Amino acid sequence: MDSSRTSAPEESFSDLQDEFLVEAREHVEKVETRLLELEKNAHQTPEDRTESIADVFRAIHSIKGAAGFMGYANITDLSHVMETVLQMMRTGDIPPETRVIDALLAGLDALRGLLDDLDGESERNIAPAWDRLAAIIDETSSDAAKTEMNIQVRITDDCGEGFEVDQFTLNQIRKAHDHLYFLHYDLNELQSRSGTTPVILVRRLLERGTILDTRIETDASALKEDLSATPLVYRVLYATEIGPDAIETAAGLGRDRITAIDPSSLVPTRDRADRPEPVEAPLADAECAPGENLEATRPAAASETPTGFHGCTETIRVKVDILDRLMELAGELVLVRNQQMISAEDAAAARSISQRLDIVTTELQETIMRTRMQPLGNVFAKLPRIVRDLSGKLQKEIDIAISGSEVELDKTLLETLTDPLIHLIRNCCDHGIEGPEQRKAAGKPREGQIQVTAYHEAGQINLRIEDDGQGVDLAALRRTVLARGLKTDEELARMTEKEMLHLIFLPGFSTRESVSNVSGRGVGMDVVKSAMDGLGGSVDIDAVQGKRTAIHLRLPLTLAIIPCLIVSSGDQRYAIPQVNLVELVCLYDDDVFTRIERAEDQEVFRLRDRLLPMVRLREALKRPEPFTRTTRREIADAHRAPSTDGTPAPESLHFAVVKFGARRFGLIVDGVLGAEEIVVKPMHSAMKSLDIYSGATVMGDGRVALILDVEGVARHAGIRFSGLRETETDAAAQKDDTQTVLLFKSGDRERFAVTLPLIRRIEKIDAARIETIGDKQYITIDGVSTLILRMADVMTVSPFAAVDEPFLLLPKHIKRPFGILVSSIVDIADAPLTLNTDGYMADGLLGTAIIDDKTTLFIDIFRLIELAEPEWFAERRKQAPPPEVKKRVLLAEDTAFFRQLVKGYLESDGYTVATAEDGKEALQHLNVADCDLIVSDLEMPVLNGWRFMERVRREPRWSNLPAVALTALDSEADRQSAREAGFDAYVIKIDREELLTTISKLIT
Amino acid sequence: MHNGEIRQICTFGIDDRRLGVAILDVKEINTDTEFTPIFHAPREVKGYVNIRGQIHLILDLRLIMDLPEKPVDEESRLVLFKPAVGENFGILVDRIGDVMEIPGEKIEDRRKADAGAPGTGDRRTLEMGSGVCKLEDGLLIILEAKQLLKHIEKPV
Repeated sequence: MDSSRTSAPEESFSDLQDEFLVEAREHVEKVETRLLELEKNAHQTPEDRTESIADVFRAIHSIKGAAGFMGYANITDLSHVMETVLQMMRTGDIPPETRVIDALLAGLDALRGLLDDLDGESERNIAPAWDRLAAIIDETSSDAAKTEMNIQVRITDDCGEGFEVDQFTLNQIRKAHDHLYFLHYDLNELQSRSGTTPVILVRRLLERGTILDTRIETDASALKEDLSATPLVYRVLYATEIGPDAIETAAGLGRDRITAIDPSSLVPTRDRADRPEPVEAPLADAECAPGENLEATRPAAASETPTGFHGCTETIRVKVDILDRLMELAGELVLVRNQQMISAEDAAAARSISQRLDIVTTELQETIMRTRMQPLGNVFAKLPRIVRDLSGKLQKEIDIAISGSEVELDKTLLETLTDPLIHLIRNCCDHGIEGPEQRKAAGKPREGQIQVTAYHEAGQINLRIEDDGQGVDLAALRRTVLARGLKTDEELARMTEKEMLHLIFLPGFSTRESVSNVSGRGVGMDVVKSAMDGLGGSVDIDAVQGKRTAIHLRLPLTLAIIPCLIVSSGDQRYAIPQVNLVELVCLYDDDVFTRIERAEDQEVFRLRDRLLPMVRLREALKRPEPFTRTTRREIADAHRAPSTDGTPAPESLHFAVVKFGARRFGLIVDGVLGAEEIVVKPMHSAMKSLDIYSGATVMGDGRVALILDVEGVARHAGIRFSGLRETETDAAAQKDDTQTVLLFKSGDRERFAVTLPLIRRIEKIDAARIETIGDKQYITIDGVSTLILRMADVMTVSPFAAVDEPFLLLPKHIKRPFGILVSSIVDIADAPLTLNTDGYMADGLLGTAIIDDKTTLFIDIFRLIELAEPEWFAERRKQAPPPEVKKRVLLAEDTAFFRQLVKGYLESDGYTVATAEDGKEALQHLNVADCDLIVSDLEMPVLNGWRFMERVRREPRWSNLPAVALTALDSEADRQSAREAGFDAYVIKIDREELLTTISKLIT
Repeated sequence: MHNGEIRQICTFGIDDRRLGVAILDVKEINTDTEFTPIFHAPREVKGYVNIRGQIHLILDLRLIMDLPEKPVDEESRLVLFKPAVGENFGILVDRIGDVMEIPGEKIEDRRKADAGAPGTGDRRTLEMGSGVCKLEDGLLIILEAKQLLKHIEKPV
């Protein structure tokens, strides 16, 4: 049997099918969005919506056109009737009211169903959707039009081939187009001659006119068997404005293949008595009837279409410029390879080539990754429809606002995210937002709001789904938890509100007393949680009873490659994902034993007055059984003191502070090997049950290393986070009378200090690599030319003490690459928050303090840069100029250090600053003296920033007073709470430029 | 077993036992024995090994057969299986043998045969869905590669 010949046409038919599907699906998505817009903007004038309607019309028309030649009768019929409705909407005969949009959406759903099941297309029942649409046409049409619809006109060409069109359609078409033609194509010839596929042909024809009807002269089965061998005749009845002189070129056909039709010659043939008959008897009435149970149809539709919402998953659209870049990089890679072959013997050349190879490979990899990135908008586009349908069904008024559609995510992640996201939106509609009456009674607007926001933060994708509904009833939650025996009374008593909220992620949990048919089907938030876990993400909930619920999803950008810290345990290496990493701590000498304390059986470490549970990786690895109290006690005992059996005591101990969600613990490792970007491979399916790993990777030397799942490790070690809280709060209460600073030297004499939160990183550099350009010095760090500043350049201090390997201190919050040259690092120490400004003072200093009996100069990094490179900030001043008239700023900040720092920032831009040490003092100040703007810390004693601002906003005279919140934390949740309290903006304390830009914008 | 059918068996050794798997199930034989141990895994799991960028799970056949562990030496080999047998995995054997062609009728279904030596190791081997073939110079136990992975997938 000659299999190659028979398989080829099969392939080309499926190619056609694919092309048709991709295009049709795109049209369907577009139509849905547009229809919803139309409905929402129902108040628009007909002129304003013409464009939208025309858009929808064209899309449906394209589907009809393409389905026609593919032989998909049901799709053709359905899109035809939709097209007619749209045509009447275009002429203003039908308004875009809910009922009509409903019918069109039902049609669209049926169309989707047909597209998802192309092979069974002819057997699917389209009658319910078809009838609804036909009914609309019927009742809106004038009697004359109805008559016209029932009159069939036969149009024939020279050879007697012809089409039947109803008079109504013909009349409508002739209003828009002057000419009517028969076009006679041979699709095979067309494709071999000019490479034009049928889809392209249809698209081209539709650009200039309307396809009334088409016919293929082979039936679908013949089409599948032998597509390329025989002529494939495709007849098109085409209405257009193109005149007879131009039609040959436009249609790409010879004169003999075109028949112009004189419309006046058309005469009615017969009355049309019937409409396309449904292929099978209507299913149960419920299926698509108006206003019927949406849920009843949804799951059924989903089970019939295995791909469900994900649609066509096997192809991906990639921007041409990305592909071009890939080509270029691949080309470069080949060049580098060739060079490497030539210069294999020359070591120096080899190094530079291997460097280039490194760069090209990295870029190639990044670019390939980008091809997998898809905008979240692809998923978000489905949400308005869901909300619309549900609000109708639940008789609620709900609006959805979406932002961040442009944020891109790896395709796999995006697909897995779809279902959880839809589930969450359903939850908002069903459980979250109350009915309009209930809302009114609670003093809320009738219409509920769902806000979906996507944004990047800390290398992760953040997705926030928030509704202003009834929040979570903690009392009901408590009852449910107790009733299900998920937690005991005692356990619940020890939980914080936040921890209680997290209980809804427990499997099988649902607070809804009656199972609702919208979102409560026995599956709940645990599904969302496990989906997020599977994607390497996390989910968080925040709710205020009676006010709002917010679900926060965090996802890695891509699954494939993640930055990790590589640590060692024994002779093995392990990777800890960077997203889980907070900081690294190293203890020396006696501290190894004395600083690790015990709280009952749990080892803990006091890190900046916060109790951190500790886990020893080595111990966790060698014990396959989850830890018990006894295990933990054993471990703690074993590491209490240097062992007595003669083995040398370890000189140092390294641990990584790791986090998952809001929880932190210390993971003690044998060694820290460095950071690396690793390619993640999933665990072998037989190993999936191992909690402590999230995957594996191949390291540079070809050996395999395992990736740790820190949450799994914490679970394995049985850390109880809640038990440690009390001490933690105690510790928090007495915090903040000191700051952590880095002590360093530049010249021989002075000792400098800089507050740690201002430092991004400290880099050891090779003095020989410093380049001098003009009167400035630069060094390349991470491929970026970085300006070097010596302390002696900007103030009168001893000259820089030359060393071979100095350090470069890279500050945070500076937009330009810049570093301070440091000859030696002295220590990290706790320093008082209040600095002495009366003694030695110089421009560029914040003040001095005595640390370890030595005078230490505290530097003001922003001021130093300003002194060295005045034009860097000049530019910002130009863009966000300080006001011309002197403005008064009230600064509320409890810690003296920051008060001084921020005051200095403000004064550098010419503001007059009044200070207050807490919210109460600030309020008192406001009462006696005017000010133009408030800058306030959030965490303050007596009256904190949030409460302070709420009080300010309560006073009508201050309701418009601009206010900026200052905080040490940069998190979306804080931003949110600051906004809710009434602040206009939110800035990180130490970011001078951001603060001044924000103030300038608010005040001018 | 189909009479007259010739089966090609890839043979290997554990101590003085001879074992084999169908050659059609074998992807390759490899000498790479740099394992990355997977703590918490069942003890039969030797660890992960990287074969040309693909991570494979390696099971220690000795431990599956309930025999004492033995350090890897220069004769040790990995027998890696095709994807159809199971997700990227292989077994560690003491040494590799020849490929033997064995007529189907010479392989006894282990369920009928009481042929396994009384040692516990062989009894466990026989649980691996294997057949037994009497050769002139001893027994050849034929393992069902698919059963090997199932063995450790059992809850531990």
